Amino acid sequence: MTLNGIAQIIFYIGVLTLLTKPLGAFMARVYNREKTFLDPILGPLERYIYRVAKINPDEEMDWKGNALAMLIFNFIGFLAVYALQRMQQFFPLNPQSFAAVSSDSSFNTAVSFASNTNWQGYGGETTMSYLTQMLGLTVQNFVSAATGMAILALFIRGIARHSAKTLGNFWVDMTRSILYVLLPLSFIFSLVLVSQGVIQNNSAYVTVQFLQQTTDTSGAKISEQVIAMGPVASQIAIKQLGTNGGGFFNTNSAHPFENPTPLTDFLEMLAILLIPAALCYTFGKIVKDTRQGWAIFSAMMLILVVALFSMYGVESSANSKYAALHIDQQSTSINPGGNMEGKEIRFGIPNSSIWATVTTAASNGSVNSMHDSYTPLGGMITLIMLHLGEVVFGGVGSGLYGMLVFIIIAVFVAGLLVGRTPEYLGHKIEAYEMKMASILILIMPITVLVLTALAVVTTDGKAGIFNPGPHGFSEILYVFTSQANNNGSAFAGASVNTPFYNLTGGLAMLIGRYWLAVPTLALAGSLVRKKLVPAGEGTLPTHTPLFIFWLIAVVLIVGALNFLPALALGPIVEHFMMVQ
Amino acid sequence: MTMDDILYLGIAVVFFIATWGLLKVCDLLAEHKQGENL
Repeated sequence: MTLNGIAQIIFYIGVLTLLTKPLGAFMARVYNREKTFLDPILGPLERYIYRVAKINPDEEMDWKGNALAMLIFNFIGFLAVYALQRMQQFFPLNPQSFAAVSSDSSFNTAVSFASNTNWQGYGGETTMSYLTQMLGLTVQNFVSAATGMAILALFIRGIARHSAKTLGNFWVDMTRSILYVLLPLSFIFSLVLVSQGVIQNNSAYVTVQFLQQTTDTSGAKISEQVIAMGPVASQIAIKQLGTNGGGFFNTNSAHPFENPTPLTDFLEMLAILLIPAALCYTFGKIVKDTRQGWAIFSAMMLILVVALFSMYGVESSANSKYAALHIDQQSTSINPGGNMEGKEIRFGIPNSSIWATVTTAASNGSVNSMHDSYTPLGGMITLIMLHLGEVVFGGVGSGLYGMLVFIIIAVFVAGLLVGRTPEYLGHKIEAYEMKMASILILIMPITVLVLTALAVVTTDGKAGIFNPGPHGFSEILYVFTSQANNNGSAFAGASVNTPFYNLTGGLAMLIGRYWLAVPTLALAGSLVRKKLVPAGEGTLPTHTPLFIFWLIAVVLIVGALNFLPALALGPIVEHFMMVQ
Repeated sequence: MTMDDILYLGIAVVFFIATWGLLKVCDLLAEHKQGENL
């Protein structure tokens, strides 16, 4: 590790923390339907949308009404993206004349973008027309992110209110998330990206002549290259801000047209965690106790900081296998040292490590380096961040409501351990809440482990493994962990654009998104009906350092109980093989 | 539209119906606790 690298991590954390309060306070006004500085511009548009869609913004729904609205809306989104891919050859904005996407890949991609996963079994620049990218994928980037934010807004109201029946209106929360948060931020961010060299056009691909002839991997001489074009900046802005992660190009944010400069690299990393971090403060504002929001922020940040420095540490360390090959691993002004395999030289180890940690902490999934080439321990850190259930900031909305479920578990277990009343912000935590919380923490690991087991014992599953042994197991584990957590990043060492992986992965993404969203809303529906229990002598304070560490312990223990055996079969044994 | 399209769209329809079933189960469980802890 170098001082420069450490300084970059600290700078990143500092800027993120500084932006949390202003953006969080703004979003609290958005969800409380209070006046904002954007009202004069967006207010008329918002009212027009409600009028056209025949939505009464003042009419609230209970949890079931909101859940049904969310499911129907997302199902329509899935159908639209599926149809666009299957019929893209008939539509305009297809200068490369791409054919229809295969049915299994269309299914996987439609599920992926509707569920905010953005797993990509395809290469964007060799598969999708511009219309599919813009009208299908980019639109879903907005609405899937807004879906997560709307569910969170409903959940927060479930905690903030007492003796009520309704949580709010899903349509209003979703509309306001897009209009007041995602669109303005994406618009500004797109312009910044364009100013740095991210392309935005609808041109046909460009063929350029090499200055010097070269050969490809088969030995054939090549003298020209096709440079892919497209409306990239508009997709990249929302892909980061909405924790979507789906790249325009196959190499994602390692591609110079997606991420051309050190400034874009920093801003894109910042954009990944910006909204999830700010939502912690939003939570505190809406429940009228900002200490609660900062407590959650602190718990998430502490886990993230440990992961960031651990990642940077292991990737900077010398590799005994490289030493045997006489590779210079000494860190100097012209040599980064450590493990540079799979990393862009222009980003180096610090920025690759930050990105890999941040993208797996959030359910973002974009990459600027190849996780498959990380050291076994580095790869394990990305897996751990996913295995914790995407609650270390996590996806926009989904990360925080996931952490709030862990808080309910933490409060309940603490109550059992020390005889405190299990209650959270004036709500008594009882059997129903614990049933829902149990469903919520068990669905993801069951999905991941069952599908991984299926893949490693079936011919179709094993056909996708390029690296036999523990590394191949890690690749398969990562495939399903990423999809079931709606992350979307890939270890990138397995061939997964096959009917088997497209179908099983699609199911993992559906379960990971909607079978968690429904019990989450049910939990909110239960909490909102409860009478206010005033804080008393027996109430466990949930804003203290003690509770923050307790919450972290609960998150880590649940993650370890679910996944430690699987990690032992993959990255842990691979590490010992490496140092042997 | 091919047979594969029908298969994959059918899978999605079945999944969303199953999710609606999960919603009903959560609701049923909630009804059982009526009057206990409100």
